[in-house]
Amino acid sequence: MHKIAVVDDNADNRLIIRTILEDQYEIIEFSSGLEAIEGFRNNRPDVVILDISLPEMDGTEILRRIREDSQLHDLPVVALTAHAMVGDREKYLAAGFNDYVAKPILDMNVLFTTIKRWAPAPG
Amino acid sequence: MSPTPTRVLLIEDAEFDYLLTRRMLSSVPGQTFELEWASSWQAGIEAIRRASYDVCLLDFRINGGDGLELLKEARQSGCRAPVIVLTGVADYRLDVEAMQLGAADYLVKDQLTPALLERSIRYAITEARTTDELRRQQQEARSSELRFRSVVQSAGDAIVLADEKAKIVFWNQGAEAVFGYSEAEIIGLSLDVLMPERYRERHRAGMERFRVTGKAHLIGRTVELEGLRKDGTEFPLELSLAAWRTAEGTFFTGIIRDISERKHAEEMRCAKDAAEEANQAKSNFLARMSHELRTPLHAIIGFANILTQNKAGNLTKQHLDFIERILLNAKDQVRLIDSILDVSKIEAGRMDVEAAPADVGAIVRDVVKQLDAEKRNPGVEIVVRTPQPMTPMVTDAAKLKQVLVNLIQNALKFTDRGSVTIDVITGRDGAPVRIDVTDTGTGIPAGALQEIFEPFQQLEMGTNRRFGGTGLGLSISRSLCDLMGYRLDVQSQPGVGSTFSVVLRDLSRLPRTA
Repeated sequence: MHKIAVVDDNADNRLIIRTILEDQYEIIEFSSGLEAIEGFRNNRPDVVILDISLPEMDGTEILRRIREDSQLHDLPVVALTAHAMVGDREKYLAAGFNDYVAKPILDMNVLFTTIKRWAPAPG
Repeated sequence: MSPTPTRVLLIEDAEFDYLLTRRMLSSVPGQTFELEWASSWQAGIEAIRRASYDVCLLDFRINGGDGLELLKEARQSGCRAPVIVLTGVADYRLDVEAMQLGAADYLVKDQLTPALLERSIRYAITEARTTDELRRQQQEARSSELRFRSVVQSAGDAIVLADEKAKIVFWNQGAEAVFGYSEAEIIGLSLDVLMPERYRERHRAGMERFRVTGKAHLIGRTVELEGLRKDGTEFPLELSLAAWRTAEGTFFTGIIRDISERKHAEEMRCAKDAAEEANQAKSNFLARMSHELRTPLHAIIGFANILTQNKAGNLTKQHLDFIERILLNAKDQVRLIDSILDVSKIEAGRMDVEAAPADVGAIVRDVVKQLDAEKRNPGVEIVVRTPQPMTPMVTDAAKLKQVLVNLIQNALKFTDRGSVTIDVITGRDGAPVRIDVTDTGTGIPAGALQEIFEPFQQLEMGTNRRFGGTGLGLSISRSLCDLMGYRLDVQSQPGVGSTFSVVLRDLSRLPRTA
């Protein structure tokens, strides 16, 4: 079973992703960036779903640290964010995110399709 | 002792006197003379015209004319060398006359000694040099003043001189241009006339204080004030003030620059900066608002979506229906937020055109596929007519898509039966020139055809309650079309239906503008 890490300071948001994906994936949750990076080193996930607006260290900074980390630099990271104005998708892809999903997720299939792109053949 | 020989011209008709003079000069110790002899009046004049000498010795009585006449003639011919007049007899009257004509000295021949001659020559040369130098300095001073005057006169700034009683004593052309007074009008008037009433008392007090204490706030500084023109208008100026004392009293020099244009430009820049700042603040606010409004909706929609799956199987049909309604309303709210943000962004001028080649047919089919899936009215058919093949055109695909979504959603909303047809019309080169969205809906009365493009306008025909929505769709669509240089037209017949047309243009020739 592929491991999906969810980094979001909002417990509701983590619960939603867990509930939607837990049948097909193993979910690990983090509520802050430092905790997440530490956790990734001990227990490397297959895909990271990363919120942008986080206290202390925001998603873009967490991504930068992941990309600079010799162990973690190639982790697929999907931005899941309510920064969803025109141009935001392009902005985050340009910042180095592998994929982008806007909050709110109107169609759950979008989430599944995106995850499958980075963690194929769930099992 | 001069290292170079002194050039001496002797105008003398008696050879004996020439020889005598030559001997005397050659016996002067430590100094050499280069003596040229002219033996007649005419030869003397020619020699003077031909060459230059350090000194000229002139016999008072000479063949062919009067020595004093020769002296006059020599001066008129431009002879600048000092002239020493030699004479056979001492005559006080002649002495004075020679001096008046500019002779440097007057020597009696039979009293002459080498030392006396040498001394007379030396004095004459020194005297001439001093006179030359003085003349040169005077000339320099004169041309310097001329230069200075022309600079002052032609300066673009106003240059005004006033005496210690504040009477204007000098006024350049720049001052005339700035204040409107001619030199003739202003000379002798008080500086008061150049300043608004409110400054005059302070100015008088300042002048008085300077007179008593020698101190002034403005001297040596550049300050910004307002001036008063002849026509009574005020203008901002920059004043640099200097004071100087002469034997004739104290004078003030004011250099005044009209800074109206600079002030105006500064104000414009400030206003522009403020507007830019306000716009930036608005954009930041919009971005934050967007984020904050979406975040709770994410949870609402997320949990509602989970519930619709009814994984535990314990929800009733009615529960699921309610959940479906929560979802639909929440999704409507997301669209509402998007629309309001779009309007705000358009109004803030923060919407950029991102032009790239695109397949307009594919864009239309994409939009229709999405809307067909969401369609809540099974009695209406969506028809797409796109000619094949179609030449790609440069457009902003995201904005064109948004316009089409709005138009087609609108058409579906106001159509109960029949169809919504999307026609892509191409030009001779196969590139799209127009997209028509035609419905068989309620139609729009002629009087309301312009109103519908205003924000928050939806036709008041009792339809407000029936047809949801913000009334922003058409307004946004028109703004987006304007942004891309497209035209959004409408034709309608109440009871028959409406056609909205997007008249396209290729954006490859458009610079990317905000």
